Amino acid sequence: MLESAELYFNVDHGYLEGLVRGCKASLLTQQDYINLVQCETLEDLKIHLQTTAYGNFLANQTNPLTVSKIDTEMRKKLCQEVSYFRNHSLEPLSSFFTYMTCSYMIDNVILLMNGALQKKSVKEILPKCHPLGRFTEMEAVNIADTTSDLFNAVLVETPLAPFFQDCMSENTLDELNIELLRNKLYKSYLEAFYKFCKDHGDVTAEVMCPILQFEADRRAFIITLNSFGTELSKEDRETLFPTCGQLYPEGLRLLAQAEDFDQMKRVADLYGVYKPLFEAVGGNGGKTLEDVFYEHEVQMNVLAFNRQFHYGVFYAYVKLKEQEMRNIVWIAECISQRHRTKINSYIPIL
Amino acid sequence: MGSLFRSESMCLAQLFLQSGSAYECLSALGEAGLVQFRDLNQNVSSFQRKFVGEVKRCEELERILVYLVQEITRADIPLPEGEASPPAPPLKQVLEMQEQLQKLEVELREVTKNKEKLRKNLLELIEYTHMLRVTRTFVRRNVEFEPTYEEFPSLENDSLLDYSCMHRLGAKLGFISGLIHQGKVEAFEKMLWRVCKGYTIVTYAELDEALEDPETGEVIKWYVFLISFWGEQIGHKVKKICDCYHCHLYPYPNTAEERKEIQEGLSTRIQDLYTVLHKTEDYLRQVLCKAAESVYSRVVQVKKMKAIYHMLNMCSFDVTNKCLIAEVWCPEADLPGLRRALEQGSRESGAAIPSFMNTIPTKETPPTLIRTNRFTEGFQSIVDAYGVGSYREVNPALFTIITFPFLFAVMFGDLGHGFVMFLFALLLVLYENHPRLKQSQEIMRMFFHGRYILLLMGLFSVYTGLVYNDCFSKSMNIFGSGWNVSAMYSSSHEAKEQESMVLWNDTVVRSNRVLQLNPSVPGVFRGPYPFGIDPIWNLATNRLTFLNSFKMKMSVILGITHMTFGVILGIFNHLHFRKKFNIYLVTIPELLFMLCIFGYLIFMIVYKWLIYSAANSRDAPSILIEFINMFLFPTADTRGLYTGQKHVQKLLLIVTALSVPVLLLGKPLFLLWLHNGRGCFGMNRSGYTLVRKDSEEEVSLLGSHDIEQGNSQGEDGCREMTCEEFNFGEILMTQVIHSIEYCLGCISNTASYLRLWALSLAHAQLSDVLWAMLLRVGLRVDTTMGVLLLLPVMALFAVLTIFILLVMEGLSAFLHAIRLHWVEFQNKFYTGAGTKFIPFSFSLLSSKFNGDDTVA
Repeated sequence: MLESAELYFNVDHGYLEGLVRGCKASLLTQQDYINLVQCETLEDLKIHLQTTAYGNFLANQTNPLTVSKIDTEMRKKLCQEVSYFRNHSLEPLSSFFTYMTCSYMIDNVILLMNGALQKKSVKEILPKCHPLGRFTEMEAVNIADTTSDLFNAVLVETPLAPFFQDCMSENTLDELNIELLRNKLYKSYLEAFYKFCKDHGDVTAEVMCPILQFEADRRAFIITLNSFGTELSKEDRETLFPTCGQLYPEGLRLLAQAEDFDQMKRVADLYGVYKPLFEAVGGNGGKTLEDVFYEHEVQMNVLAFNRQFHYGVFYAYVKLKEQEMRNIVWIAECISQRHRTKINSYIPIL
Repeated sequence: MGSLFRSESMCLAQLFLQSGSAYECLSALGEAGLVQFRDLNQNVSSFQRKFVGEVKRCEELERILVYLVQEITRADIPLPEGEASPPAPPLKQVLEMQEQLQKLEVELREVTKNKEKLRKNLLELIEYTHMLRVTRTFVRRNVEFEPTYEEFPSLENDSLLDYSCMHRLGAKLGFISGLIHQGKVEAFEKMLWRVCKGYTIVTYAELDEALEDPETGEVIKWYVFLISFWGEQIGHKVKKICDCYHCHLYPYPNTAEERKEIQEGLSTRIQDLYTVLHKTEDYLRQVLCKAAESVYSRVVQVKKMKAIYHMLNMCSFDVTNKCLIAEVWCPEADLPGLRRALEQGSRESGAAIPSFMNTIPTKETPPTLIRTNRFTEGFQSIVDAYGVGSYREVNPALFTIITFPFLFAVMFGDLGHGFVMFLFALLLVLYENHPRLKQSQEIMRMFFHGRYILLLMGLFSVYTGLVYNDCFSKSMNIFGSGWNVSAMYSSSHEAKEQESMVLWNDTVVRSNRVLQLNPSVPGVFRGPYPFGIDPIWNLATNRLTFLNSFKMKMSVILGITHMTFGVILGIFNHLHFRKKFNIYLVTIPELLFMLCIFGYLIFMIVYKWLIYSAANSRDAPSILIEFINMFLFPTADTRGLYTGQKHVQKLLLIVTALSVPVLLLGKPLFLLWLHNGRGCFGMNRSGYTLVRKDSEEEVSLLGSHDIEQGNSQGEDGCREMTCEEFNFGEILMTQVIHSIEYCLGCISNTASYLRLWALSLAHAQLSDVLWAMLLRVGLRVDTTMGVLLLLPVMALFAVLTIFILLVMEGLSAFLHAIRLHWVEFQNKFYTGAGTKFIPFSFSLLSSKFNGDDTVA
């Protein structure tokens, strides 16, 4: 794109960028977390959240308050914000938003299919679906028995359709196949999103590409970790790795060969970015790999706000907000289960 | 007036509230609205305070009340308002009230739930009937359009949907029918096609009536559809798809008789449901009506209760936990009222030990309270917008009452415009109790709050308009002009005089376009006009030159007087704060500086007005040149205004020059001297020791109090001011900055007052232009046409006068007057670093239903 794109950025997207930056400023601060951790009951938590940007979002909830109620309400609030952004966005920002919601849609489809496999009714599972990834055809997912059925009948008109090209098969959908499907979908989704950002160029590419690369690499690591001791063959494993990360191609090949955590670590040690992350695992406070990845993600997302005139802020905001929601849920769980020793292991948003 | 000159003296009082009667005491205090509470638990987070439970209960009650109000307004039942505000409920009643409200809520929720259920049922039945009605036409159409089926020629005259025929085929023909949202039809059909691969036939038609959606309550358009399919497998899939698109499915009757039966059944059930629904609604209305009677007072009561608990949360407990200790700021004048309120509270609660209070000395600055009334409120808010006055500081609002409208009027000098503004303000003042004015829109409310300011502004504009002799840009000849044109003609003078003067005759008058009246000719100028500007100037071409000179000098005089007044007001501050040395070392040098330069300028202006007359005005020196020369010590001889001018000016300059170093260094050096063992000059000593003694007394009082309290040492840590360390450098810097600012400010501020001239000029010119461009054009047209033309022209003139000259010009003059007060006047003496006294008062709670309470 031309250099002057920054000149015109505000014409189309200035309002939304201003809004999202305002929203970001209302994320919970360190002080808020300190106060939240001190809460004795969920009621206290509610009172404290009222003084933050959440406002009285729990006001209409009848007692007793539960963690899941808090979670649903928070999600609803985020969803309202994002749909406001989305409804006011112009191209290409609106397709950027579509890409953002795709990951939630994939999760929802997989969740519903798993539910159908366990003979649960759709109504039971629907509330568990992420509201950001909701679409009309979603509820018909359990009609399909095979992936191509799923594609042809249900998802052909949704934004998910292009991601299906790699995973058409006539296999019946059992648990393993669903998991494979999820990972394949994710792989092609990430690659497509990466390509979209790259093609868009400009600051958006500079900000979004590293974030998506990290996302891809994280998936590769997690897949590897989860596949230890399963019947997944090494060749199959390699096909699941998203290829847009820094690990591609050499690292992924090595990861495909890894057989335990130490071997995986050795692969990570070859990369400057991931070496410190793996070293932090199990360090002070017994952090898991997941926590470490989350922390790194938060850091990258916060950095995205340091630059202007790009779409990355929207992605970063949603991710940060999600992390904040995870933190609140974690704290709330700790409070409600009276398990206060671990309450401090939330991931602070700087 | 005394209370407006300074803020009221405050004292810090400690209230010992017996835990049994604390609530009642605070209720009494809240009704009286006398005191401002201090937060003694600042480092305790809001949910760890003592009365959190009670606050939560209040919130729960509020939630129920909000729900009730919502239901009542939805049912269109009028809420009786306006009742005098009920007192906070006694503690015994709270439980009862809570129970009542909760019961009411449960009942209401149940009834509304039932109602909703019934409504939903009814809607479904209605949908079903619609569906049946519409699908019948499908069948007919099928018959019409597909009369022959090649495979089944026997069906020719039969209904295609006759079930028996299908049995013959051996395949099971199934129907699914229902309603679907208008927007989803297309996607629905597509998916059906994709999933069932064309083994279905879908027919649908739009429903001509828009129906309510039972789930969301939205009124939308629906489509009725009928899907016919073969085989059970497909049937399952179709059902699932229908679920996915949230279709409302209803069983499809297979035969005409069945359909008829169902329709009949439906109509009777709908009838039944209607009656039940009506009864439920009636009952609901009854319940709500009963609730509506008390809901307003309940809302107020709960708000008051919540406010009381918020205040109680600010109190600390004493060691024995038997009484609450509150610290409050209270105006000294209200102390008896405070005692009475406490007594009343204790009496009401029937506590054995009364709650009591004592005042405690403090070194902290109390909040500022300036009591206002309707009239002074607006002026006070102009001052407060700049900054709330420091405690016991001279309050400029008192003087603003006169100076503000006056300076405004100087810029807005027009009798007519001023009168219109006065009338508008008078209307607002006369109807100030009218309820519609109080609830008006934002802009109107702004005018309403400033109605007394507007009133005075209008009045003063009338006055300055008279002085400028301007009424809609025209002059009024009330007393008769002092100028006589006929005296200029040679015929009216004797021959001897005619030689010495330039006089007019017919040829002169005919040949010249512009002629000048000569006031030195006897009989031409017969003495000044009694009041204001002579109306003859309105005809003169050199009117602007004349007015400019007058207005410019006037603004300089007004400005310097205004600023000098400000500096003098500073003396009252220094006297009150017992800083006498400030008078000698700051105020007097400041005054000297100002008066020796600009005071002298005024003197020259007035002197020149008095000394020079029409006869010798040609010799008059220019004040500007004289003033500049004063600083340049001109070597060349100037004529000068008076003899000995040079010496006087030199003296003045020396005084000015001397006052600057005093201003710069006097105060810091004096403070330094005080700090270093305060030498041995007896003169200043008495004043200082007085200050010293006083503060020592206070300190000792404080100490003994602390010993009495014993435990409160730690809590009161915040009360003790940190002893300010003497920092000479800092004091010097502040003083240097202050003096430089002042000296430069004197010049720039004087120049700033010239805006008085500029704006009044602009106003006069603008109204003149409006007259010349509009009304004069209208007046020039001949009589027959003129009447027709004048009407719209007059209307346009009125509209433009109001919007441009009154509103726009008025706003700009208003802003400039504000600026002159805030910057030029108030920076001479006003600090404005105080905090406002906000009493704990129930009257400040918003009386609206959904407003937030302001005290919390």
